[in-house]
Amino acid sequence: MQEDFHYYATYAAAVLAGYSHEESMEICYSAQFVDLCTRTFLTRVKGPKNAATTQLQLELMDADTHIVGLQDITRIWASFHFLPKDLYAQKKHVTKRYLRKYRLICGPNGELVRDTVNLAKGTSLQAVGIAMHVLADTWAHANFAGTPSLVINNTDSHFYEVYPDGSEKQINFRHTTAPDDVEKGLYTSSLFQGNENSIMNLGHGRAGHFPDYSFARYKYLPAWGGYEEVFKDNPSDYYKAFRQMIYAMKYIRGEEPEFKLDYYDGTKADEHKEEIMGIITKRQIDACLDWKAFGESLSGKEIPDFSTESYIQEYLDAAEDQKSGTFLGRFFTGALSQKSMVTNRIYSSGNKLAGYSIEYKKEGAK
Amino acid sequence: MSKFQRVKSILFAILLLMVAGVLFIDPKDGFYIVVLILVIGLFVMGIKEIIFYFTMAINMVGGKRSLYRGVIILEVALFTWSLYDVPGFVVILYLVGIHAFSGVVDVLRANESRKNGSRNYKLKLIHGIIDLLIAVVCVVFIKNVVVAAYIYASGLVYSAILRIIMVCRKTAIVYIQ
Amino acid sequence: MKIPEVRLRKYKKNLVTSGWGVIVFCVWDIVKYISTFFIKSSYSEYLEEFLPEDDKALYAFAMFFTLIILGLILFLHAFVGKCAIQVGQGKRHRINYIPVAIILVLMTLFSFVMGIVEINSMPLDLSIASLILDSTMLVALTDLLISSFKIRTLEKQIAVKGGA
Repeated sequence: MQEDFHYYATYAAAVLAGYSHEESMEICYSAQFVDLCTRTFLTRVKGPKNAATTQLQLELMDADTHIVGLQDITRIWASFHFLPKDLYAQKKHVTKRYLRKYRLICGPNGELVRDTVNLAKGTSLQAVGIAMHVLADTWAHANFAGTPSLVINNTDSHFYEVYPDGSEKQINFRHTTAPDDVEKGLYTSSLFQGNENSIMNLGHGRAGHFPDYSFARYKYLPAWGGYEEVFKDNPSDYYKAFRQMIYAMKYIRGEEPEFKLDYYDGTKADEHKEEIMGIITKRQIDACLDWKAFGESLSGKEIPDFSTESYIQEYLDAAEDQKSGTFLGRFFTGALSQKSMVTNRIYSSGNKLAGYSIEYKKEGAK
Repeated sequence: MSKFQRVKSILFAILLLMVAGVLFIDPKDGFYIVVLILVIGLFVMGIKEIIFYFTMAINMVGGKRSLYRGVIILEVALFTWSLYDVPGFVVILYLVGIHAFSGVVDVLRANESRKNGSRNYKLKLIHGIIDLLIAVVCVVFIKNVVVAAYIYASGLVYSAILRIIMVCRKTAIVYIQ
Repeated sequence: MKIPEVRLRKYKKNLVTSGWGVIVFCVWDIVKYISTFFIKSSYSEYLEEFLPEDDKALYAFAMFFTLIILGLILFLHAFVGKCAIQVGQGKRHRINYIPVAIILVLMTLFSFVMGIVEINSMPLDLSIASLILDSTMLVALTDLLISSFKIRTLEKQIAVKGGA
């Protein structure tokens, strides 16, 4: 997903869940910041490098694709953008090596989503924002894995956009720096790379930005799918994501007794369903203005434009022992927590693709 | 990095330094070692690709490409060994390609870091410029097999040093819950 | 058992991959042949075993004839490969390339068997390389044939199902 959903739509969902304007701003800022907190940024603000929640394209190109580098990449992308749906998924007649990657395929309503939401409960608003980013991405990034893998993430020429009238058009992805042209149906994706661990095969790179467009309905053959066609209905999924965010935040606020999977807020979103679906189904690359207008209509307050600079000075000016209390400090703590939890779950399932993890409470520091 | 991976890396670095030493001492005859390295490299790549097909790509849509690619690479390896007098040019072109691409990525990476306000971009920038210079030198001396051997040997020394640095670096992979 | 549409997709993809495989292997084989006889050693030295010395016209004709044969082999493989790719992509329905593919299978099989029988006539590395290429070409051609027949069967099955 993009800024339109992570920032503005999350704000709207937070307001509908009962948060105040100020609280909603902290949540939505954190949700969007997950897409910007890179090691380069952390170096600049002298923050903890392990709190990185994403990687720049050039950081990725520079990344080691040896085992340590791959673990580092997987830790970040699986924890924040491609939360695995089922770490114990089974597939017949495959090697252990294949199964490890297969089990990292992202999807909504997996156990890890519940763990993510529970982790955010009772902590900071920044952690809530991180959780909302992760939850939303499980819908947009479903069927792709947050680890470089040709055999999981590759796509091929069998990729069709399905229009509302039922007609289909084959998408021939370009490999240029030109922006996507939704009017002409021209989209860009990463180049085919035959190397299993190539960065080009990370996440939904082989489908470009297309999975992040809320209006997109498409069918394709995922590399792992055994030639079965997958149909992805983004408008329906994005609406579910929005409703699930409201439900999750209501639970975090204490208005719901538990966070159930496959359960979505029924009332708050439905009151505005027509307006929301109008935004989601509108054929545009960037829906920021529409979501912003919607969010402002809910709260009656202005939503400032997102800026990475907003909280840097506060963090830099704070004394060492005060940094964790700043906005960025709380975000870093939340990010470390999320990354740690997901890495531990992946490791505990017998999968070392995200590296090693020990349970401090059981084994102590080593 | 596990202990085994560190030992493996150090041993490989020592091997690289030994081969580089042979090339510096006798570049003309030592060039056959370069060819041998290329052939072994291609052979290993081919076998790896075939193993990759049977362990992974066999489950992938369109995975059979990996099998055919592996066979072609294996073929090229076996055939290159028999054409030892041709690959001089091949080696030089290979060096040029690798170093130029690596150099460009490093320079862009350093530029991106600089734009983001990071102060630690200089090392990456120098590294990128060195790689680009190596590529340029290769092109200038492209007809001289002896120079090709010296450049390749320098590349081997460089790779060996980097490997040793990686081994000595602290790798933060343990996450405490 | 997967539904026919899924299996059809699989065989179509297989056909495209095999089609490309046949073309690439043939091109590589010819490159190897030309490298061996025209670059590595003199083709005329090879011809000396069969032709009288100093007959330049005959030598020229032999070289020309060799190139024609190589061109014909390439054409046949390219024809089969290209047709297979087009069928796999749904751009063609006629499978008149099948008889040619069967001939190529027989030719490759013959080459493979002769390669084993005369393994000592060439340096071992070249012999092994040839055997590997021949066996993979056999796999590609066989896969191509099987996929072609399966596609026909499945398309009929789906047509019947659709009509029922």
